[in-house]
Amino acid sequence: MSDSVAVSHVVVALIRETRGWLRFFAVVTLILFLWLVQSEGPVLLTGIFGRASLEHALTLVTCVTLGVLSLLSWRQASTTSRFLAAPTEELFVTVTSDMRRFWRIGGPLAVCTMAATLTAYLFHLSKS
Amino acid sequence: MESSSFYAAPQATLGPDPAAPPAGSVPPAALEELAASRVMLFTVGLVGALGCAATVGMLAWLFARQGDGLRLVILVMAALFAAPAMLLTRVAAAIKALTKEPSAPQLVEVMRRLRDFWRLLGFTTAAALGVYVIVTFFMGIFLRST
Repeated sequence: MSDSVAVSHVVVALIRETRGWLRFFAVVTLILFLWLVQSEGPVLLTGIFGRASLEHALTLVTCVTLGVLSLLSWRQASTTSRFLAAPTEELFVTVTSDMRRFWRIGGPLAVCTMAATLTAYLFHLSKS
Repeated sequence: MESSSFYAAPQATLGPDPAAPPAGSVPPAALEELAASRVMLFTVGLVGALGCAATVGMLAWLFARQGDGLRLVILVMAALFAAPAMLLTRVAAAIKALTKEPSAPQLVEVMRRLRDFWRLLGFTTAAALGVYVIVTFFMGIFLRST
């Protein structure tokens, strides 16, 4: 391990715990993504090739968000595994870099999905 | 005794490596990466918390007007997800403190809050999925009986 106190045993232990939850999140989002594709597949195809309604757009955005979040969190967990195998400062920087990538890509997607869901719900309310 | 003698035993440098960062310091590259993700963490946390609050408020108002089981379920789920969103803003706050005063204990605090966020998100997701499965199961029984 590196001489720096920064990458200490406490940090390594915390990162180990985080990795477990990251994997859990990746698996859950993957299952939700697959379930959504399987159940809403025709709706998605209509949304892409046909006339896209608000519902189509919302399903598409949710699907893309779930897929991307699953991929990014799995990647982050893999990088964390490499760090835990050999906890060096260099790999610690890679872990933080992956974290930044996760939030830079996943953050706007999550915000868009939340906004789209709220908008769709408000739209549905105004119509009913 | 002459240490530079050809026959003398080799000696290791026992002092600190001058190239290594000072003890307790945070790797500058890691600090840079964390600082770069802070704004997005705060934004997602804030928007998430506000979104959850708006959903809870809207559904509570609708539920008061006309009681509906499904609305109540969504209301509970939205309230559940507000907690991880709030924790995300606390991670951003810890990163801000770390960038102001980089130290090992502060880095541990950032990592601890991140762990807390992922753990709470995991529990919340598991709880939301559990609620969803239970509601679907009972709705199936209810629809079959009517």
